[in-house]
Amino acid sequence: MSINAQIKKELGTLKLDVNLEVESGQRVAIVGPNGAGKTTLLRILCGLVPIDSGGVEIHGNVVDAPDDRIFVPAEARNLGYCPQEHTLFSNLRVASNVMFGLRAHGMDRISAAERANQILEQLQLEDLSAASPSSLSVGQSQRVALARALVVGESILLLDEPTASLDKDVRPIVQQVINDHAAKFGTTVLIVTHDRAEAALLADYTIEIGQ
Amino acid sequence: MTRRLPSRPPKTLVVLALISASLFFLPLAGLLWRAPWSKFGEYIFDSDSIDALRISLQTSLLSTLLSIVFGVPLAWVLARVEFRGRSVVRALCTLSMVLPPVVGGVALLYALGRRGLVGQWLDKWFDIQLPFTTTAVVIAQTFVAMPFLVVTVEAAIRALDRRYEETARTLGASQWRVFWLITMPAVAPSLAAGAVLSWARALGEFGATITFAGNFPGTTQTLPLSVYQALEVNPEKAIVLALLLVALSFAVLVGLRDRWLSGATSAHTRSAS
Repeated sequence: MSINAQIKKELGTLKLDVNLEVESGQRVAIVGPNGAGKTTLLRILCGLVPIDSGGVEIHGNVVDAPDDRIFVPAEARNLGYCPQEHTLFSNLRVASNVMFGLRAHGMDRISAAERANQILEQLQLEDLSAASPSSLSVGQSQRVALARALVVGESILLLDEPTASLDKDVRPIVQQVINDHAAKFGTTVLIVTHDRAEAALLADYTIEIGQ
Repeated sequence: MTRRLPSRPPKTLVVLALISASLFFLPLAGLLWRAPWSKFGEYIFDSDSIDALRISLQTSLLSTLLSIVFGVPLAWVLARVEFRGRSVVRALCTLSMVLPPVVGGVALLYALGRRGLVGQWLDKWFDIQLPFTTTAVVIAQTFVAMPFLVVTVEAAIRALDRRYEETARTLGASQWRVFWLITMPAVAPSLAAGAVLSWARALGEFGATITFAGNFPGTTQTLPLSVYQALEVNPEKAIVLALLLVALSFAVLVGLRDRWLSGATSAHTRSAS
């Protein structure tokens, strides 16, 4: 799915002014200094923060246009978002965290469990499917959060520093899973990263904001 | 090898703490001192006492249930929905915490009594008269007890890290689903604490109940009203019933304290994330 956005947003000291055109199936890395608004940009695209002016279109559908009083909330945007803070639901086991989005989209429990196990296996987390999030390391939490976003993010995936907490030996595995996922489903991917090498590895091109 | 001795608490603080603790222990000691232990069973198993205990337990549990059903949505709205006059609505909804209960009872009479604002229409259209019935006891208890739950749960919802709920929404969950599957489990310890406080307040309710529901044995006479009545005719029985109330409340508070009251935080609170 394509993304077209002209975003103007002021949030505290942040002044975000970004034009974004991403074609369907493209992978784009977003880089920029701390406080440039990279995370805010993703939060705007996934419907958690409304823009002040401009407009956001996803696959030709207007999802945010203050002038026309249009705002499609996050739950109706149908994309996968992996926040930097992981935010795993502590009352649910790892597998249930991954199944959460699938169940919310109406998938039956058995199919959702199968899909969750599949993605956990790809991310080498199959042994932790029954674990509580509180027992996971930071790196494991990050992979579970990624798995949770991947299963609902077949058309658009928004990833905020998806490998920042990972060990060096796990990082290539996760990068491969993201690439395979995008190739398989033709997913449009936006990745916020500090790592330019990773940006080159995961993205077709890089956008720099906050310059 | 050095041994670290535990530091001694300041004497002034300890003395003041002992004085304040004695404020709670002394009245209880007074009751225990004057209790007619030989007649304990006789007074407790008296049919009036059994009735009062039954009514107290039934009405306080029902009012706690009502407090949960209506108080949780109210707490959520106060915590999460921004609207003009929210602080005034909050103050009104929790007013009965600081209002003399008897004033609450009078207010309930003028609202739900046969000539009350709403009561007159209930009487006229549905032939429903609420005052001086067991239902009135439940209403009076809910009126004074629900704010304890609302305040506790609202504080817990406010303290929640909203990013968890936001993540759930990006995964496609409706606000209702987020409320049930993310918000409620996260505030469950506070909800339990609020329910216990609410129940304890309902169990001890006196002023609003006697004003709005009256003091009729077998119908509206709860344990506190029974203590009040017994105090005039049979002080020994009043002491026994008072001790029964104390024991009941104490057992529940002690039993639940470690499980709920001290653990009324969740992994989704801001400080924990």
